[in-house]
Amino acid sequence: MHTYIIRRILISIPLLFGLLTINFFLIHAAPGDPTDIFYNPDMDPEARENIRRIYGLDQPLGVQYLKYIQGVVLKFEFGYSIAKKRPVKDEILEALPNTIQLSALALLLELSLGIGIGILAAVKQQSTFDNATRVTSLTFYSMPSFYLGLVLLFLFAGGVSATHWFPASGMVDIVRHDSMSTLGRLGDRAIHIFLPSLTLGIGAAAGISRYMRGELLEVIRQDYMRTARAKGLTEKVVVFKHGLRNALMPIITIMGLSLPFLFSGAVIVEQVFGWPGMGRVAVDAAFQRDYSMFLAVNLIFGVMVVVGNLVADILYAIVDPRVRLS
Amino acid sequence: MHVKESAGTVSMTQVQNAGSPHLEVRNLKTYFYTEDGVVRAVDGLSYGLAKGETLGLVGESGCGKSVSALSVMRLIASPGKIVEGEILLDGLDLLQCSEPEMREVRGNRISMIFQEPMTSLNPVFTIGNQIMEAIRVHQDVSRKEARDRTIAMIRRVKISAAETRVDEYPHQMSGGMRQRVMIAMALACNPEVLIADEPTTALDVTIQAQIMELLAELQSDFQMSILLITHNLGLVAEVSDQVAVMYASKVVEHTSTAELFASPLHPYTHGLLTSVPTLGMPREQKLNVIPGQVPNPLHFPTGCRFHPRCPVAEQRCKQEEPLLREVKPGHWAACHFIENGKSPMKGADR
Repeated sequence: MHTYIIRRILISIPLLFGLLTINFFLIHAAPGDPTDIFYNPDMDPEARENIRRIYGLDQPLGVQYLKYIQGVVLKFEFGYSIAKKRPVKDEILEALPNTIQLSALALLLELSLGIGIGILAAVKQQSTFDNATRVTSLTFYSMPSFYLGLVLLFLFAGGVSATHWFPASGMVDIVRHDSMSTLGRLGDRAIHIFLPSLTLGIGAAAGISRYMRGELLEVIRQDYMRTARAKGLTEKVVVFKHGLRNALMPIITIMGLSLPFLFSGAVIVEQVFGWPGMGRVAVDAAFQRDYSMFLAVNLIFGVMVVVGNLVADILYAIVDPRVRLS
Repeated sequence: MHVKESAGTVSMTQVQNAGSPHLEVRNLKTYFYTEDGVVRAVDGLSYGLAKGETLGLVGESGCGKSVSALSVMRLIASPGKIVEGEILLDGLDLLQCSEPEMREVRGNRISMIFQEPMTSLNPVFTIGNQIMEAIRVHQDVSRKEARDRTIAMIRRVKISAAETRVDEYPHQMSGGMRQRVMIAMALACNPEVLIADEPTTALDVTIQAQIMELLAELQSDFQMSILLITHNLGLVAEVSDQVAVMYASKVVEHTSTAELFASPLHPYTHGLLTSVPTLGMPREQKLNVIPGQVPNPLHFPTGCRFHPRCPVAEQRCKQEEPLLREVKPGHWAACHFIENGKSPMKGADR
């Protein structure tokens, strides 16, 4: 298993390298460049050229590419953000943990709600609960996250005064946070993260619950479930021990694939809730043609895809003894 | 569908030849309520299984054999429902038992092995885990004790290297091995009755013989009664003491194995037996074919359900359903035309 994991990681290096290369030339081919933000009509063309020279943008593209790759490979340096006027690494180290926090909670919601509802709907097939969750799942699944975010904001963050339970934006209460007790700070963080993670997680949970229901219904029909019942086991043991583990396998695959989507979903949700994470960084980088920042953000998404798949494969091998990683 | 309600209902106290049967099914009806209508998968089935004996339940695919077995275990899932009848295990009516009481019976007093060894074991648990589970649910023993018994059981069904195989997964084993594991699991709690639903159908001929031999051996060791469900007449001839022939959700003939093969009385049984090739049969001789098809359990024929395919059927057979009656001491059949223990078929006595 260890050699398998190491090999998978080694294989992913050329993949990420390719991703970096393609993105490098793509963003440079896009019209405009990072110095646009310093431009004003009275500016001397020579002064502008000067700025370009400072950032090395006057050099041939090939040279810029080699320099960039050299920095990444040899020094693990991801360049300098022209728009933010600080190293890319610093900016990302600040924003990434916030997004991971949000995504992790959303993933937790996605799995617990999705799997829980899916199991109940399957066990009580055709019941009121099953039919009700079918409708609500479809509703949430087809609702775009920015819209859902706005609806939640309206309902619970000020639009309806009777249910104004949550703050509308930010990670903490910037005025009072520092004067709070430890428990108070934790609570402050919790009420701030609740709506954005719910927005991010509920659509995915809706999808997972449908898959879970379908898989479990499929598994319940299997011969080995009948064998388990014929042993005299209670229905609970039959469903949760014999059924669930088999039904979870496809869910693991879906979860692995959904990890990058959760991350890119965060980009949008962060905008709606003013969450200082990768979402804002990514959008700014693209609009400002902030080359180094754009490349680093995309590299992180690439890493998410690789990690998501690897985690899914490893979990798969743990759950299903027939899968041997070699 | 104008089937007489009382038709086919027979008191099994008459049917049994010696003592009261260990497992007795009386007038069992299991229906499936589908969108197309009511499928009468088992419709007035009766048989008795004596202690320590083997009863072969034979019939074509779809005649209700497996459903009747699952009914005994009370494992019929929706839309299926046991609508009528009695299933007596040593006098205890299983159909009156509560679900917890029934769980005490399953895997403990009555066990079952299934047709498909390849899919009947859970792929994600070791075979040891699955056998142990059967022991621990019914007996108050420690993990260690249960594991020791499991290994002993695996040895008992003649799987070599039981100590290492106990931790293997089903996919690491062949079909024959898996069926042995199923048997070990079924017998782990020393049941009184074993229901074997086509236990060898999915296996190679050589493996079939080994499995049947193993079952016979374990039967005498464990003193259990076996209900053998099969469509294989050869198998029945070899291992059964009694045979019940099923046609269209009912028993049409029931007698000892020797008697059935020597003088089948029901036209359907006769047709079945003459459709099997025998060694030494002239090469030019054609095998007998029962014309027509197995009736659809949604729309059984009126009267005798076999009448559209029966060579001796008359007007009466279309209207009146024959009762399963003792036509000869120790020989029950459901046909209007059996008189003085003689088959209506010409040359039936072989």
